[in-house]
Amino acid sequence: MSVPDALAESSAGAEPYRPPTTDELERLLAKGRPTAGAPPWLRVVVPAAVGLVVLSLVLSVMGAHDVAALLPLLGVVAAVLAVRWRARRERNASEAVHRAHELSAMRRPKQALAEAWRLWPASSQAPMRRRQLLAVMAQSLEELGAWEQAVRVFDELLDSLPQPSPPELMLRLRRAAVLVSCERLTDVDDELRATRPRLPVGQRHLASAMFRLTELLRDAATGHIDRLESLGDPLMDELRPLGVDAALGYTAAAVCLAREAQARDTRAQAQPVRRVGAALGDDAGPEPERLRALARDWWRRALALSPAGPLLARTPEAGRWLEDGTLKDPAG
Amino acid sequence: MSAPESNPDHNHLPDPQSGRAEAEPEVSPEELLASIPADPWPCGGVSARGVRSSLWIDQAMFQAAGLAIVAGALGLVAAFPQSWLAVAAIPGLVIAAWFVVNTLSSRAARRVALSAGIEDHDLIAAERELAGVLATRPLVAWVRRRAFERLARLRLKRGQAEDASQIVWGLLQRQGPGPRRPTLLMLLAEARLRAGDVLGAYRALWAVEQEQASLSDRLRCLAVTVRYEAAIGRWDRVARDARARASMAELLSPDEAASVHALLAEGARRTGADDLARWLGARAELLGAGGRQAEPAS
Repeated sequence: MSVPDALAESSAGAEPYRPPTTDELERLLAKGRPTAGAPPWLRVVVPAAVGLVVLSLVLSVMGAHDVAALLPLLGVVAAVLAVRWRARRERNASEAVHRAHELSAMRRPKQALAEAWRLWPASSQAPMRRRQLLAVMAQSLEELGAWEQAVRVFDELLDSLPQPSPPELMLRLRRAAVLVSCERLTDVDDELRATRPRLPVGQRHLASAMFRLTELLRDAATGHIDRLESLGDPLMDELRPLGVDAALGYTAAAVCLAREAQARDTRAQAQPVRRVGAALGDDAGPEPERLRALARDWWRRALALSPAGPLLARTPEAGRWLEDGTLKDPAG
Repeated sequence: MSAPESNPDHNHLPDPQSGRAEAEPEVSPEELLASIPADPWPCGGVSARGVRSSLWIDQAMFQAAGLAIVAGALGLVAAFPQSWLAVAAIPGLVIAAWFVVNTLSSRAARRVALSAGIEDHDLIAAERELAGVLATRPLVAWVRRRAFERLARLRLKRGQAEDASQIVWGLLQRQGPGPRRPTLLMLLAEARLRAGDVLGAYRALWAVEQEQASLSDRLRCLAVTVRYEAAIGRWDRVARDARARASMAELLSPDEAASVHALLAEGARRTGADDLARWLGARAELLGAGGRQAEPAS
């Protein structure tokens, strides 16, 4: 299956890049589904082997013993050559998938997606390669901001994994994080509720960090924060296993804090005599300002790990707080 | 290949003794590696010679089995010249032998994969699995080589850098399918550096630079190279291309990325690039516990 024109890297100059549509993706996924019944190679090998045995028997009965003795040997030689050819083909296919995976790891989503798209139709009979290609596609679509399509690929990938299993848990959490960007917040809540009891015990686990990131993204999207104290410094330890992807969690924390500061300002204007309790330790100055300072800290940390573009794409509200100056460092 | 003075992009490793960047190489990587004496790091349990012997025994068993099948088939044909038994025996024997070897090997390959899965939480159980695999005979070469490679990684994780060096050295001396040469060289470089042998690490890293390495090998190479340059006190080399190195290093595991960032920050600080040092230091702290201790190895 050819790669859609808009997906090809070479077309980038001619027309703006666009990720594949949901329909294009559905058509592609349909082409890589495992077919029922015996694999194609077996459909050739079994009749050939039976034919060879029958021919050998017939020749033996007819008295052509020399030829009859030679045929099985030729069969063995042919089988060895076929196995070698197949092994080489498998190795080449695995190397191509590995290259696509490397492109994806190096955050080159357009090239990785185009490569996975090209390799996909030939992977229907290789479950491991299928999963690897689906993982590449899901990550690339996520990075390209094609949320709905990424969720669709995550669904396909989850269907191909044993359930429940640790990789399945991680994928469900990643899918839930993408669902936030699709604004399917009820589904996100359902996923978080379903996965919470399965989180590994102990700190600094990738699945727990992913869970926390998804919670933060949901909180940033809904504007509802359960515990303001949870947005203090321990958050850094919680998100550390995510590496540079923790930047997204820091951005979400900054958005939550900025929004909370504004809400408290509004409440204070409505009830000027009300004193707001110290939610984050000792009372150092007016609390909304403290929250804003914390928000700026998280945003600064996020920027240390990642450029602003991808962070604003995932949490558009951060752009609003940047524009009104809440997240801008007063020192410049 | 031009000398470093004439080409600012020249990115050779600095020599551990002179501290200067290596100029025109006069020997091939093979010669460099061959200059390490055979079995140079004696240690209990595992030796490079043992690894080589183990690989050789498999090969010898396959050759002996092949010869036995041919001899048996010829014997049958000679004994029963017009019998169907003789005709059927030849492919039958080949298929039976193929079946036995493949069954053993695929079971062993599954155990190797299993040991990789459990080594994060139980090193002893993982090594027990590998011991079971290595006791199985005959195995196809790639499975045994993969098992040895896993064993080397396991020993390195347990802090037995000499053992890991021996195993990898044995694998490097006997080429074959399975783990790729750059992967093995990286593992050797890491093991030598952990053992405090900067010269051995330098030789292995130099050899890796001549190879076509995969992304994971390049990432490992970056981590070991930075640690090596810090170990020999070449902070100017550590800080060179620090931004590009940092963006590569973020693909490592968070703790390892943090320790590479910490060394890059230290390099930037020592070369007077204070802004860069602050940025790298902040990233190091955010990425992992390893980033908190910017430990120069020298």
